[in-house]
Amino acid sequence: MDRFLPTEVVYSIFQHLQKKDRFTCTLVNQWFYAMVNPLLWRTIWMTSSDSGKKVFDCLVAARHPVGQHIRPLHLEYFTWTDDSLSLLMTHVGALEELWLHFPKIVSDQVMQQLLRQYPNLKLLHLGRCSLTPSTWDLLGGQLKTLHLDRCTGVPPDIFSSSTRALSQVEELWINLDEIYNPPPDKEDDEEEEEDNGDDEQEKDWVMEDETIADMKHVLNGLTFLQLAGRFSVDVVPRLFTTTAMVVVWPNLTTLILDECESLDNDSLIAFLQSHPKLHTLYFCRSPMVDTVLDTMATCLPDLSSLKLRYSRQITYHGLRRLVQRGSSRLRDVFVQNCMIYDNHFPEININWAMPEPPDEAWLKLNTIRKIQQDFRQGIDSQQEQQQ
Amino acid sequence: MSNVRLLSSDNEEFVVQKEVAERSVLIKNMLEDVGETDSAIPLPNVTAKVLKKVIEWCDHHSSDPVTTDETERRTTDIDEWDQKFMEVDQETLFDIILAANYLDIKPLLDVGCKTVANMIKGKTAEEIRKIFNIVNDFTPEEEAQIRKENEWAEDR
Repeated sequence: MDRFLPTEVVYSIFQHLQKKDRFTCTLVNQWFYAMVNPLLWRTIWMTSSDSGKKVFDCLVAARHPVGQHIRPLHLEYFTWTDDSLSLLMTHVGALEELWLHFPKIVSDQVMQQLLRQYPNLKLLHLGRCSLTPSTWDLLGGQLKTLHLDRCTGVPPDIFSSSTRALSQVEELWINLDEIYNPPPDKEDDEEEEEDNGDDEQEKDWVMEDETIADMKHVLNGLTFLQLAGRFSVDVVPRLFTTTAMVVVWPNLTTLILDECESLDNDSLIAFLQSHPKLHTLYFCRSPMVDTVLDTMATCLPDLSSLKLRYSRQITYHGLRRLVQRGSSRLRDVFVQNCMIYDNHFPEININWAMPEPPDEAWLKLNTIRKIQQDFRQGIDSQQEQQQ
Repeated sequence: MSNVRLLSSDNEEFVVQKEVAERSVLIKNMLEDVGETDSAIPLPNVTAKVLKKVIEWCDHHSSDPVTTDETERRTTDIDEWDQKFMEVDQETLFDIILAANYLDIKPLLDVGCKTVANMIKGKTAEEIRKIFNIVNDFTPEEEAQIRKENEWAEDR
């Protein structure tokens, strides 16, 4: 071949590649290296246990300031401390997303420094952190996305309108399972003295009414909401149960509920009807029936992804109707433990290696398009009549 | 429905429905600027062979909704019809990509880029050089240095 693709085209090819292939591309030639190396460093998302150390070693040893390229930084199993955060601030220039999983206390001083140094930090994941009341004031204003994963020290007025610290948050992921039940090692002394450790252990996870009210009224810019953990069993019905069509979060596009066995069908239908921008839904243990799926088909024109687990009252007929009549943007439907199987959908190319099929059905883009096309051409409706 | 005449670089004329031709933002803008015209639109960067393929794609996708969804664009899943459409020799594939780039047909360009990305996936640097007909201009020392600098990304 005597010519090559223009730079901008090659760049967008690299955008479709994952880390390993980008790494290989840096070794092809100088031109590839110059284009792909910033992309390789742009997103650091590591999940193995020693990866954090490796990334830091490479950062420190690099000839060029590669840390300036990093935007999201996610090092799973890496124990962040004040020291490693200070090292981060020395080498990384323009962080936008940071996942912190640390079992230790990060000092308010370092947290303050971190937020000051990264004014473009939009996402902060706090995993199993011990937080002080003043941390929340520090977070104010700049964060668009906040993940609270089993942190301690989250006050009931975290979203309150008086502080408004987190009123800018658009994406919220929370699992508050340990808020009201601090890790035992921290409470050991007190528990021994008071001798009521067992009562503490059995205490239910309760979110205060004021926190729930704040979530509805202060966080009205939410686009993404995920509730995870046991604590949400109690929170979901209080947050979503409604008798009328009430628009709580007008811009909500993504709703992920890990525990929604107490969310009744009428409330869910009313909620879906009043939030037409929803495009991504995940429900676990929802007692929903086919009528809810029909509501999704008629009321959610942008629905693109739906995942359900342990919804045993829906049928494959209902699911098929959703695909047929639902959004043309639908591209991914996955149901697991719903007693709906791949072989309920002859459009799926099935090749099982297992003697028993798993209790799941996964409709991907091509299958969905086929079902929708067939439906439009009237083939499906004829088949339904025959049945 | 009105038609549009397109003239390839090797002077072959194609008559295409306006709606189909307007998948190309370049042609759409030209038509808006020129208004109703009887003369053929010359496309000096596209041969008849490639233009025929591009028109075939635009025709099949003429009623697609316009998507600006970033996540939709970033996956390497390719629609089944598009996959078949892209089963061409590599030179034609690159020609289609260049034409989509020139004619400003973003979704077709994306499908082309995804197809090439899928060709790169799992290959070694040497195999990639072969695909793109690229000469290695690194010294062994430079190559070793880069490998070391990016060591964190090497293992999966």
